[in-house]
Amino acid sequence: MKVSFLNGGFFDRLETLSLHLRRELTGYYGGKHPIRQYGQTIEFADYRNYELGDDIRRIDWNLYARLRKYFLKLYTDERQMHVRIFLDCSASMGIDPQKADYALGFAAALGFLAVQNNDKVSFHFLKNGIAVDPFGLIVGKNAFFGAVGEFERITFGGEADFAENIPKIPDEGTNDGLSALISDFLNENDWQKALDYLVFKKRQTLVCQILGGEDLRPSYSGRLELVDSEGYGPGDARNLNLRVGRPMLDRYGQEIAAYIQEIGGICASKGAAFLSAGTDLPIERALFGGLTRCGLIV
Amino acid sequence: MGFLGLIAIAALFAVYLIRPQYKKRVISGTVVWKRVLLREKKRRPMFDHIFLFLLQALVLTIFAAGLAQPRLYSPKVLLEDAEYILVLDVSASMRARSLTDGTTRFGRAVDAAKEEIDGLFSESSEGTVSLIVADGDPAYLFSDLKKEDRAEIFGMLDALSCTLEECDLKGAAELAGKRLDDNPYAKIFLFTDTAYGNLGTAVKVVDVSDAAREQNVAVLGCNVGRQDNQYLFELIFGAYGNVSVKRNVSLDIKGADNGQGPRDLHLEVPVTFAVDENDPAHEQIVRVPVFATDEAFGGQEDWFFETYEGMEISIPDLGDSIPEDDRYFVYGGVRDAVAVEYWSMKPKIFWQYGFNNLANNMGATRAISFREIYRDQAMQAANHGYDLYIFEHSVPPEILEAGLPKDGVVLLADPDETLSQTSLGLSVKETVSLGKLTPCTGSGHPLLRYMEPERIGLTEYKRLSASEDPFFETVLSVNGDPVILVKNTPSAKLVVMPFSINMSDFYGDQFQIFLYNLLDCFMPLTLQKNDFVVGERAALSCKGESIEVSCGELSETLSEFPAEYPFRSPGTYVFTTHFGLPKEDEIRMAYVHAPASESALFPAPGFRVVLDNRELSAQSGTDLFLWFAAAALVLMAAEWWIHYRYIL
Repeated sequence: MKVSFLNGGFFDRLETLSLHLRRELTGYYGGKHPIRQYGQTIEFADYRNYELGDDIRRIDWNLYARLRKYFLKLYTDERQMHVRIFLDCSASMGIDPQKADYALGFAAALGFLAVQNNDKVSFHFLKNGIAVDPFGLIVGKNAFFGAVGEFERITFGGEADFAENIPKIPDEGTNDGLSALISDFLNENDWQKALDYLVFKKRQTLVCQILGGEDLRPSYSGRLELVDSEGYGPGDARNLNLRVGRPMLDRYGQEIAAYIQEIGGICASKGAAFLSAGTDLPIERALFGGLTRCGLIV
Repeated sequence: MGFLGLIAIAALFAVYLIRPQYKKRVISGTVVWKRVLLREKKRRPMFDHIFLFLLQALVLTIFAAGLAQPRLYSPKVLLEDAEYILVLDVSASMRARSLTDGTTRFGRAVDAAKEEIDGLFSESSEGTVSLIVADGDPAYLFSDLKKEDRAEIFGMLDALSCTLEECDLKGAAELAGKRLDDNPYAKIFLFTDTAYGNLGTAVKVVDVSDAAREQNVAVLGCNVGRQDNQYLFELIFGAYGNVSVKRNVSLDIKGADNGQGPRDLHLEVPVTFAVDENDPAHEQIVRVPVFATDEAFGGQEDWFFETYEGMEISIPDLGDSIPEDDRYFVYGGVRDAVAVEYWSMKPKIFWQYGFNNLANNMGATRAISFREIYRDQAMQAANHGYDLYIFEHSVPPEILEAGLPKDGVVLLADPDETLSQTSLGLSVKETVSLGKLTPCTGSGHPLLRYMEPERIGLTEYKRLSASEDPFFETVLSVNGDPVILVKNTPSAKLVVMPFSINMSDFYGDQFQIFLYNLLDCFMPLTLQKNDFVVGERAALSCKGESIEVSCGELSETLSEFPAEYPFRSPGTYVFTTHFGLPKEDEIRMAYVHAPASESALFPAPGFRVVLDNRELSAQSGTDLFLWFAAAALVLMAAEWWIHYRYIL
């Protein structure tokens, strides 16, 4: 599958942006995200009294000349962020090729924003009840573009179970970056458990809901057997026999809006950022506008 | 009713089982739609919930009520003892007259009915009276008349008279019994001349017979047989009631013929009619054998007749109850004469053999004579005077000259080119040789009745030019070509068989049946018998255009056949067949007499029905099960629709 959004122009427009984290980061590796701890950067932060054992090279001798007291000059510290992207690769995301492209574009954009700030990024594709991490930890643009080049080979199918798979990913990092859930959230899986887990891990979380045109404004009508794309086919309990008319479509429009709002409310209550985008909106507008509103890019 | 109930239940199940056809549509997920439905369910007005619940409760209630066999009772039920249904026997036996005061049973029955009616009207001003006339076909004369109609009721009763036929008293009682379904308290009065007992609590039998003062003598019948090659008549008489006399019964034989010409004979036979006085209601059957050689037939012991046209048996007037049954006629000496002329260039034995067989088997009803003419004989073929003309191979020159006969059926077998010289519009085109025996195909024409056309095989036949005459029907065909053609109109009766019997296996039983059908189709017997009783219907067939039926002053002409003729009164009926051809009319006679069962004044009860007054029960009133089932069906459909409207 050729991902239509993943081209040079798309990434060029992201060059000027960077991810902004509202949380403190832990970790050992230096990066570009300032933290409240003092470190070894060149950016001055504060003074403190010299204490026995401190490195005398860090004493501000100018100040000693004026005040005859020893003060140490403190500098800010910066950490590297780990951006984890959990992409729903279930059948519901693949049923509409534009929606799949959109989701992959979102994932690639977030990954790009991470690597261009010297952050680490990892992609986790969830489908058929398991989470697959085919690229491992990606640092640097070369590795990133190598991975993005492989996006074309990603297939969609089966079910994605965030609640079951995310906690099982062997990654013990806590308070170390951003986790993004990208899905349409049109299945009955309990994705909130996954969100709870990420919040527990003190990671900043972004929930991206990608909806296709048919998801937002169905074009079908009449007497229909609506088959859930993630179901087992005829006879699945998720299927519905419906007589779809104009009034029902209006009610659907109201309900999908309420559903989006409800997801947003849940995310807000758990301190997660939420972004809902329809594929009929240009991806740049959805990305820049959405992430800006969430305060995730500066 | 139970079956209808089953159908209703099946229909209810069908309503639930029938599901609309849904088109499949794969979508990302049905979560939002489920939320829509959930919200819809919550949004549904409380009224709908209640309405649905009420509907379902109502359906269950109706089911339960339906199981209780609901019935509807009309307000008439409340009028206890206020509805009388009178059943009046008007059969011939009701004519029996009392020897003392001269009153008839029927008169006494009418008086008794009037008495009951007055009794009802004096007790109940709302009482109603209905009357069923129990003749051969019982029906209500009037229904639900009230006190203010008394004069009209009595007028109708006075205008009634007895018939001479048997009555269907059982049918009349059952007809009256149907009223009990509407009004279980109705009372049925049966005015008859037999002491019926135990007909049920709803029925009061009024026996108007008077065995001690009534009498009747009747000729019940006459068996005609042969003994020692002579006719033996067994005369059967019946005596009933208070009778003890000796009379000379007259026998008048018309047209008795011993081969020397017909003559009329008269015989007086002494018969004693005496019923045991101690049992006046008992009957006496007298059987008197009379031989044709009886010296009374002219006093010639060695003289006996071979045929006769008819015989009248009559009892001298005794002043008994039913004078109509004192005479009896026997007809039957006349058989249908069928004269057959067979002309052939090479005569086949099949024809003569076939007709001889028919003559033997149908001798009782038909007198078949067969005349065979060879071409080489000096005798010429006649074109009139026969009932069936068979011209084989060729049409005789004298017939071509004089024209085809018009007074009978003409059968042209295996015709040659002379066919085109007739006025039929047919000609032989070619001779078709089939090489092997090929089975024929038959139509449903009566000429093939009882036959199996596929069993008739031909090896050769003659293909005819198509006839423009629309009256020609194809009866039998082979390979699509007709091999038996028939034209049956009042002016022409024709059968064309363009094949030689020698070139077929059309002989034996199939050929014999064909000859039988030929007579039956074109010359059916006018009457199948000539002895009927009043009320019976005679099946009439016609050989010609019409049949004129006459009896005394009665005269009627029938022109559509087969027909049924009902006999309403006793007597000798003459059936004259008009042919509309230069042919003499055919006359047949039948005698219609009063039924023997009616001559017996004191018959034993001949039927049994039980008609009980009953309390309001499952059997009275109108059964409402069907209505309940229909209501349940409608409510179920409504419930289903409301459910469907929201859920589907």
